Amino acid sequence: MGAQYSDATEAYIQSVIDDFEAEHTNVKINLEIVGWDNIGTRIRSMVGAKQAPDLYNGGSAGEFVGDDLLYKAEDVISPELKADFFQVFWNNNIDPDLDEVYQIPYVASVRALYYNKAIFEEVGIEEAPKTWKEVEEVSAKIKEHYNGDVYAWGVDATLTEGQTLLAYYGWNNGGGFVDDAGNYIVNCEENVEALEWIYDMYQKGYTNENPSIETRDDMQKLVAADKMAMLVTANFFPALYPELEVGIAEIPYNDARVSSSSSMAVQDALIFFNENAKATKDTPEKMQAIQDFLDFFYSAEYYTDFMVQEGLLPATLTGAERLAKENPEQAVYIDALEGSKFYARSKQDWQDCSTGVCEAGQKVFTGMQTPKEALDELQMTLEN
Amino acid sequence: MKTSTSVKKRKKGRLSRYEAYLWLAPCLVLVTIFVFVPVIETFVLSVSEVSRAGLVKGFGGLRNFQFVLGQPVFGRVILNTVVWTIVNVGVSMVLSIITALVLNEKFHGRKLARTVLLLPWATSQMITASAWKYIFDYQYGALNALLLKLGLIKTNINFLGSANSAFICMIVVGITVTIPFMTFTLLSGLQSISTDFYEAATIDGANFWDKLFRITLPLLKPAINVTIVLNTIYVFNNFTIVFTITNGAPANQTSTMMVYLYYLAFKKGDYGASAAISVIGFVILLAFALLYMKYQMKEETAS
Amino acid sequence: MRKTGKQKFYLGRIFLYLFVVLGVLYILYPYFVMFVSSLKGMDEIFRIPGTIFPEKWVWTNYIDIWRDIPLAVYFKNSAIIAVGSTALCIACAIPAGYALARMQFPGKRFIMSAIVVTQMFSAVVLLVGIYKLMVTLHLQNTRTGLILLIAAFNQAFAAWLLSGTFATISKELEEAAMIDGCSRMKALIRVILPLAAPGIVTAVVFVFIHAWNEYTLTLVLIGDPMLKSLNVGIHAFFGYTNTEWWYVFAASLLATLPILCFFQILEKQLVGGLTAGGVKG
Repeated sequence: MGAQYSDATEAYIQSVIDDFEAEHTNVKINLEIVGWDNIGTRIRSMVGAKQAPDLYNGGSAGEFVGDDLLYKAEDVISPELKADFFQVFWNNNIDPDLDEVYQIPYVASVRALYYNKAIFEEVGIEEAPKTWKEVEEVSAKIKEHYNGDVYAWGVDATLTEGQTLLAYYGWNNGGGFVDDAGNYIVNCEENVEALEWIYDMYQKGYTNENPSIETRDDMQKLVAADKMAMLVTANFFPALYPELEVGIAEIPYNDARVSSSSSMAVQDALIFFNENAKATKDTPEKMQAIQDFLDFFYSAEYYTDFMVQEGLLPATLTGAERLAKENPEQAVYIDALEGSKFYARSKQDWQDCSTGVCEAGQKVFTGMQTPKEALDELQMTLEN
Repeated sequence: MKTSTSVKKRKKGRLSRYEAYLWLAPCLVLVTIFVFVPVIETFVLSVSEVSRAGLVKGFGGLRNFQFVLGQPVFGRVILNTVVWTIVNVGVSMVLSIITALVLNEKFHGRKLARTVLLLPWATSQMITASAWKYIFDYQYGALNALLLKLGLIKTNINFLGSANSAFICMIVVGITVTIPFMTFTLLSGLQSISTDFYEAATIDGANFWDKLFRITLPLLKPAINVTIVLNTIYVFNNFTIVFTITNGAPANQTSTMMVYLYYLAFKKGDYGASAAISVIGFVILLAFALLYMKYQMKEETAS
Repeated sequence: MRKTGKQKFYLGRIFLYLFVVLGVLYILYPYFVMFVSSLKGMDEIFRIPGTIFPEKWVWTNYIDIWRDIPLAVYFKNSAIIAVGSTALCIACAIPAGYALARMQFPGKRFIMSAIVVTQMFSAVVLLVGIYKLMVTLHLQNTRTGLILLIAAFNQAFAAWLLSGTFATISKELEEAAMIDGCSRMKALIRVILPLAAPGIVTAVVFVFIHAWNEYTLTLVLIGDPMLKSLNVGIHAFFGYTNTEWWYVFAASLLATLPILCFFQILEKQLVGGLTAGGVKG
């Protein structure tokens, strides 16, 4: 069972399965594709009823590993496949409490600053801002030029993407979600300062008006409609609006705290349910078939075409090589992948942290709490 | 001879005493398996320790209830649910009585008006709520476009911008979908009132308002009571409208209990807490239904 | 100055028409928006500020939806689920309603309250439990499972409405029929059911609407794309990166049409039928 990335997802994966089944006539694979809104609902219902699928993309291992429902990745995949994944991706998937890997990368995307070239030209801005100070200067110019009709900067604190607050702004101020040992540090000074900065941008009228309800999609539309100048979003954005002239730059950072920008990558993972979550027995033959299918699925050809179709990036070395060869303009993203930071998705209570950050952001932008209060409260909840 | 007939009679009596169960059997079997079994499951979950993946890990006592009641946002959620239910049912009731009275009159285009009124009921709430979400949109919404064109506003209104205004918008949508069923129930009630009453009243010189408050409303009362109880349950349990339009954002400030329990179960993976809210919601509804029926019975015996 | 009766009548008429016209406009507004939006292209839907009528009428949207998703299959599934659950629900509710209206038996009060209590649970609250049950019965991912569930969740209203209807029908009629040698069952079918037609129609309409519009249960229980209902199928247009409003609205309007026709046919009986259950139940 997998998540729906676009309305062509299902057809593509089915075609891969058909090709695989044509080669392995004794194997039959059932596919189910579910929209992101509902996939969490469905998988939990299935697990509760011991009906989990063998392969699942749509959540992270942390949600299930505590109940001993998952295979270790290395028990399922071939050593060749393991070696093909980018090292940063593999390392990001290590469960810090168990020191084991229970999920493999499925798709990747990187985030960057996108800006509307027409607006920049109109206002007379030549270069994308690199630091927070420059962001403020550029924003002030845009606000003045358009008399407030065009938003300079997009902020997202909704439930779908609100956790990016600590990534886009926290990381670029030296903060983040976890320290090197994997402990939560959501209320660290750097994070508080980062939230205060973006809240200050909001109060000065440089951002969209309702960060707590305006989603990434809404804001992408605003950029496309020449109503918003700058937005940090994912690399699939330009492809959605082919007629829009967008510039790409690194996510701005606070040069008072850090010396360079932290680029950010997101990976969706594939996990493997074990017999505790299923009603059937996993025979050695079946496990071999799964391993074969994964090798097939992740082979450079099929995997990269899938990623190109969805506007996403491959997480394998062979895939990246093929992509760079066939779509040179995507190569810049591949380079960014290697040095990127990731969410701490392998932590078992990552979901609590992620929704917690969204909620904290919503409380800040609706004026219910100050950044410090909101993050302190979240830290306390996470520590309990 | 004598005894045998009495035995036969008694046997027949006992059979017919229990015959009702035979008639009820299909209904009871269906409801027991498909409603009560999941209900019991939910009650068990509410007092269980449930893991992140949704598996029961043993008895948890009242911990789930303590957790839910300890959430700072829970007060707001309860308040939202109460406001949502009372305003929705209250306003719908008043509007439905007026609509039913109007539709009970004969006028040109009555058939058409009735058909139109059926529309919101015939449309799935997921569709209705999506349409309104699009209508209310701040940037490209249809309502803002219309108001701009008509010259009624200069800049777009941010209907869903704050928790309070979004909540008002959702109540408006809720009322729109509640009115049809209410109106048709009341209309049925109106049509069962014998015209003799009105004719007698006209002879006595009663005016429109006298008739309304002395005859129509009192005789409509049973229909009104049923409508209130049924719709309170439906509106309280309504999930789709809030889920589709705001999904509780920002920070669950617009969540009702139904949306909040869905959020806890499927966003946060906390089935125990979610089940606890189901139980709390059930207790609230049950208390309401019992109190309302008791109050109605008292009033009936008093009059 | 006192108004004459005639003046008053006209004043009343003016208010009445004003109320009707405003009400009708208000109710039709979202459908108007859905219709015009369903004919716009992507760039026009997301234009700021929005347009009212489409600049370019993209009628092909109505063709595209049949190609983009298996809409015909969804129609078929919705119809099977709605007809099946309505039939099952009414078939169980008629004898139950009859027993509750006519017979005295131990535990009657308890059973009646139990039925009322089932009204208080919505499927959303019970999703997890329902899914487990469906798996135990091997009914997950089947239309049969949905039919059984929808019939069960609407049982309370149907049985209660029908028992109200039966109670309004004079006992003597069926007693006369039974003396003539009819069994109880025959008397019910021959004598009572025709008289209870309005109440039955109401129950049918009510259950049918709920079944046709069911969303949450289908969402969670049906995984097979070829078994999805219209509501769940339309949801595919709310994509990960974009909401295709023009397709959502085109498909939504098509999905609403059948039930509207169905209503149109039964409207008259509907009003009569709610009386019985509503007032005397």
